[in-house]
Amino acid sequence: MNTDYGQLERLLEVGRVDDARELVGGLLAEAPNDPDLHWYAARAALLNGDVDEGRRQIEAALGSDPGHFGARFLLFRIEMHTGRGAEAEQLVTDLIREQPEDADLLTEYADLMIQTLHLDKARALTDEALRLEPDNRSARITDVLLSTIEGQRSRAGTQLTRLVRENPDARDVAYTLLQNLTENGRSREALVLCQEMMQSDPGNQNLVDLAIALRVQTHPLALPLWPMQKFGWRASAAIWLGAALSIGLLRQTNSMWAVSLVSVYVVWVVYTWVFEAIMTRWFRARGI
Amino acid sequence: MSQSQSKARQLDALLQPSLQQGVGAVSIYSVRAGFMVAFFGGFFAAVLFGALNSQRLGRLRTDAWLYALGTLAFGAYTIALGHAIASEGATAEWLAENSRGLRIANRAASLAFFGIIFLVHRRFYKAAELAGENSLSPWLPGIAACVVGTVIAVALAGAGALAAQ
Repeated sequence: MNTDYGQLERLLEVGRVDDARELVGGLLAEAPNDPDLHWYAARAALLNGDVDEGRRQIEAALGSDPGHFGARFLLFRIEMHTGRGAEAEQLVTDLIREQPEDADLLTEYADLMIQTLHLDKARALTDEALRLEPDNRSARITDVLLSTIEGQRSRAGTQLTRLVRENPDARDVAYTLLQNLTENGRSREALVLCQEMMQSDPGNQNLVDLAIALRVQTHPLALPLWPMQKFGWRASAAIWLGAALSIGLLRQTNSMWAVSLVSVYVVWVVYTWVFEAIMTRWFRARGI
Repeated sequence: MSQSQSKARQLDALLQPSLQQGVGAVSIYSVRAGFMVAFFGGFFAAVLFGALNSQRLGRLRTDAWLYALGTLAFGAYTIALGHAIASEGATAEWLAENSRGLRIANRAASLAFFGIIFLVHRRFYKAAELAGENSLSPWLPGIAACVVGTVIAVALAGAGALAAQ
């Protein structure tokens, strides 16, 4: 049986999910109460995106062995990604109590806390994970994410530089780099990286959406939107205040100039409102 | 207490539950929605809309002082303004001369208050954005905040005007 476990592990690692499902199906026919086999079946189902089957297999594994660590961990991931935060939290805290030195588990809990916007707790959990394992990749990626959220750009940049240097081909690191480039307004570099990532993962709709958004941002016609892309709502407020005061002053001296400025301002406001929607539809229809 | 005991206590504190049953990823109203409500709805609309986000974040008590302070300060200003306009006689000519400046000042104050709310909630906006959470639809609460905010402003200005007579 150990040989079969090893073979299943290898098949799942290299992404041969259908082969793994076939093998585990055959093995389960011989040993229907083996919790490890149900755990492998659950992993294969989840890799295929079949959450219902994954949950069924986890329940079968826990039916045979209620304390099965791997099955409980998978159940936590399912609960987290299906929005059942309290259930996910209960599972992960129980797992951490059993393995308090496991930095990966602490990082998973921190990710759940980020998702539910409990940011102080997420920071404390990530710091604890990094204290236990300073080189843990998941914890360092979460640290980059939290540092970005907290506005600590230099900390995020330093951590990310180390991650990219040590794991240049890792997909999770590439995603983090992409996020960082986008956050820092480096849309052109982000677009190049995004297009490279799409070549190795062409079916990823999130990447396609992000590439379109970046293409819209970097299009020459987006130039009038530059202040908003750079400074967000603060630019809108400053431009409105500048326009309102200028129009007020001009009205007292030259009404013609005041009317022109009002026209330019109104056209600019309408342009900023419709540009993104129109260009996104355009690139979606004809490709980037 | 030994160091390991202290660490165990810290970890135990971290493992206390933070989430309630049925609560998944938290969605909040977007920055753009907050800006628009402050711009078009005025100061009190910005307070109401900001408080809605605080409630969704479970930090209404933490932020309550900010909303109370803003409401008191701008409420006092609005009453004083109503009083001053009534004392001036509030002729159509006076209003025509000054209404534009007053509108700009009110809108600037609303946006400034929104800016303070933004600073307080900035990391939550950023976290929601990075976690890929879709923002809540702001239309209904946004319009409601604008309407209620305007009613409050008119009522306070009216109270100030009545006090002047």
